[in-house]
Amino acid sequence: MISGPIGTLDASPAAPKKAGAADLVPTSPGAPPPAPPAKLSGGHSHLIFLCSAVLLAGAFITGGYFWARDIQERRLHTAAPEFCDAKLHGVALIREALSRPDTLVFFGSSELIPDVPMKGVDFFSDSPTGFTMFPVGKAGTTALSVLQKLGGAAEQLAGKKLVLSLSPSFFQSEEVDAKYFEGNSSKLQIKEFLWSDRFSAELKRDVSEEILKYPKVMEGDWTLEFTLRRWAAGSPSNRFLLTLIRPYAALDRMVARLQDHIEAGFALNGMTANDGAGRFRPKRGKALRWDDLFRTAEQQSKVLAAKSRKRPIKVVRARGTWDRQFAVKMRKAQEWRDFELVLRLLKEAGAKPLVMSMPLHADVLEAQGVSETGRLAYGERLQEMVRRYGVPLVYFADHESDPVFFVDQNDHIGSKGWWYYNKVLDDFYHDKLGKSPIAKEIP
Amino acid sequence: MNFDAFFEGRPELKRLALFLYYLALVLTLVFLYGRGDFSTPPFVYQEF
Repeated sequence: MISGPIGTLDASPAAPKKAGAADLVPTSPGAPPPAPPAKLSGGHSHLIFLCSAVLLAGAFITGGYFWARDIQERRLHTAAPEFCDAKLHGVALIREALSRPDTLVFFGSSELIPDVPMKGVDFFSDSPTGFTMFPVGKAGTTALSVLQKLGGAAEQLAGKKLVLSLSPSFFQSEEVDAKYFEGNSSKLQIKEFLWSDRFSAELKRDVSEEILKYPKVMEGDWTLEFTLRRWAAGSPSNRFLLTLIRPYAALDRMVARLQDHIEAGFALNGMTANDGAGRFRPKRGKALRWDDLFRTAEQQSKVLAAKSRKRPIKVVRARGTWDRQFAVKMRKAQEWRDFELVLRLLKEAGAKPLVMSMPLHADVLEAQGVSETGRLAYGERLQEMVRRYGVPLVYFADHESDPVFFVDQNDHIGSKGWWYYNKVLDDFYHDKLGKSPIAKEIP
Repeated sequence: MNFDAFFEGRPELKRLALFLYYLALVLTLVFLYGRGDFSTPPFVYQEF
């Protein structure tokens, strides 16, 4: 089977047979002497050297693992502003961030991308009030994508404070673009969730049913597809099949976790810590003057608004004529189901989440015929859902007509929006969050 | 090239070559199949 430059020392099963055949040849006076013992043990020597090579390679891999763990512990925060695969699609860095008491993990979406002054990841990077923010997410990170990231770190969630940032636009259409979840999916995170003992079979069944709607996510990974289908079916025979493949699945995840650690190590090693030049970073130890910061943020937002190329909004319907349709579409939105699965997962894991939601874009919706009364439906549904799971909610409903809360006409908050977010994050981390479920004016 | 003849009388060299051969084989396999696969289906976000 193994061919190589040392062809005469064949390690294939035929090799011992050759040696054995030589033993059986009867000796006669004219016959050549039997092969020397060294020749007979050729196959064994191959085995010894193969084992030695495997052991040495194993030692390299173990060394690589410890190197990766060390670098993850020392340099985790250089990954905070990054959007690399190791951070978003792996489990090692998210677990590391969630395991630290001085780190607040923030699960968001495209609002994390625009480079605006006072963005949370920059604002808290020097730990001005005793913690740093570790954002996780990129464009199109819908609730199902957040769920798999949380599910991949089940062990670290118990008792852990974390923040979910919601983009209302995901809740305004019946179906979320399939590419959003596909482009944010992670086989490893989904497997870690499905094989975790922390979650109920009912939750795994419901999540599997949702993920099976995206066949591209499972392409090329029969273990994942098999596991999802068995959990979705949920019958005792399917559970039995899952029990049968459990050892293989554990080995599969062990290899993937090792790869994940080493990929994360390489990624962190290649990153350079941002020196903060040109960014808004309050220093540690200085008391934050939130009122002054608010004025700075508002000023920065006005500068950004002047530079932005917002599209003129075309009025397509009279005010209030689209309220009913808006309510129907929103009520049927798939994102609610997925968001509820996230809340169930967090409850089962024993996490302490805070849900934050950006406001709707009043000007855009007004132009589409959705009145203020029609827009109330989003906040009411959101409030009703989080209340059922006992999760605090901060919804910036009062800012839906604020011209500078966002940096554009999508769910991308600007400096002023980030000021509000930062204040809430700081209050949440330090247990100072107001009792009111809806944030009105914070200053 | 006749490896038997080359290694004749050089058992230490032979052992070293064998060890390095297998080590290279194992490390090549690790290199080829050991990288993590975080690839996702293609995705272009339009809302910027």
